[in-house]
Amino acid sequence: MTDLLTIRNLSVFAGDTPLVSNLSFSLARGERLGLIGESGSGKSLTSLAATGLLPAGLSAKGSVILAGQEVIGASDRQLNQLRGKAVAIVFQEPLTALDPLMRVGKQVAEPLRRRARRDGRKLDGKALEAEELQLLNEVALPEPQRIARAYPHELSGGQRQRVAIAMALACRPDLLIADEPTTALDVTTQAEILGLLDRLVRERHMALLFISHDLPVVATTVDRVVVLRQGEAVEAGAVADVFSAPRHDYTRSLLAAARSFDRALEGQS
Amino acid sequence: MSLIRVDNVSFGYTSSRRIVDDVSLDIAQGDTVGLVGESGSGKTTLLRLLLGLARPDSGTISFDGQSLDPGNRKFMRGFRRQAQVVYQDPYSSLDPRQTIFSIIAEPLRSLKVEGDHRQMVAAALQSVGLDPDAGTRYPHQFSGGQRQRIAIARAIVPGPRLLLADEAVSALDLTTRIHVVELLRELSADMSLLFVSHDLGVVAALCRRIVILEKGRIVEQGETRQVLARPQHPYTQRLLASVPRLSFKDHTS
Repeated sequence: MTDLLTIRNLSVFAGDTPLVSNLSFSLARGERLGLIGESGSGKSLTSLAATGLLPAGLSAKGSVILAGQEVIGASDRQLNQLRGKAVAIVFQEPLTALDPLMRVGKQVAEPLRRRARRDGRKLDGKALEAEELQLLNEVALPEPQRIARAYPHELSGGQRQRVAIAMALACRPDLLIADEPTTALDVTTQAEILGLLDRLVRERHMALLFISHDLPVVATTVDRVVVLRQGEAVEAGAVADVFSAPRHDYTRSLLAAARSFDRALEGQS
Repeated sequence: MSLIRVDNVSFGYTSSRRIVDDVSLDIAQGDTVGLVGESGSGKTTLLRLLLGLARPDSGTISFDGQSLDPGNRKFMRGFRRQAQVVYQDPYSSLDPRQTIFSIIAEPLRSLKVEGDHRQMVAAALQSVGLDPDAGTRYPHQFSGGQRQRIAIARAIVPGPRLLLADEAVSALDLTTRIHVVELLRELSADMSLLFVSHDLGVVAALCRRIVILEKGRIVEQGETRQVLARPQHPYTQRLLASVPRLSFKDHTS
């Protein structure tokens, strides 16, 4: 199987200060990889570097091959060919990811039209509206007609995140990057969104790069993990192996902390 | 003996919708109580009512046997010293332009607490596990976990009998969170604790009693162990079932 995303010796710098150092991993279609780390671990910067979205002032070295194309040093024109089709991102906070002044239907329509243009189709009027509603339906939003007419502030946090997921999926990406997609959500909503992501990734046979600080969430979502600390990968492997037999002290301390809350829930202390 | 007692309290910002709906609860002297609810459950509004920052539309709240009346200035001055609060975000709750000493001494100044403030601040810093010379530094020189310790020091410095914590560890990294939970556990030996949180795991680790709030109503309360082992209300059951655990499954099958 050829890899969708291959990262080799990726480093991200702010001036001379390394924020991510010598990171390497790869991801093929249908695979799910988790990047685990606490604040400052470089997990979000890694996802931004992988999509050529690093903010001004940060520079990347090494190699990121996304769908056969080198991302580092590529022009925006080249990257725009990849965005949406090869990769799409869902961010943590759907309220800032959505335009507050635009009705949800219109926001979803943008990537849909983009895909149609790419495919050489004309998409507008009734056909566009039908695809909008179908997409909102796919992310299990109730009453898609009403949601399409609503503004983001009129939706709940979970509904907004479903809209953000719908927009990410509109261009049928091969790789979905989800950066703390449930951190801002209530725990019952989180369970629903994780279930939705699980279903969509499986149905469309996408690759998933899942970024989170929450070990139990990662454990239920992905198959392999990379544990990051201050920009360096301290450990990588299958979730079952890393979580049952962590080799690095840092992974051990993370797991011990997560376990203690887990145990408390089971009534042991 | 109850320290703070809430009887049939209701509150709404508009007349049509109650944010807190007929809530009754009791925090005993020295007890640790977790108030659990999701967004919109009314937990922060209930906390405001408990602090006397809002007045219930109906029902009563009493502290140490006395009615909590936001209009009674003499009572409120004594109450403010005895009930202190720690908020969620240590980045926005500490004034960036004040030294740590000045931040922690603030309640002593505003509550006109007599005695040697330097000594009291030094003792508070020690209680939260920070170096005494931290006092001369500024908030930006500290990590998130250390800042939350500073916020806790500010809360405990006037010697409160009740500490209210509003999502006080939610913004912290996991490895930091466990240490701050440990600190709160130690402090709760000397005072009552009301710990408001959406995080069942942290509440389970810290609180002897648990109160589950849904849409402004208490749907279940009791000893944490019992409630978590045998949740009675469907909402508690759903909440508990939604918490991700450290088990893992194979997605390839």
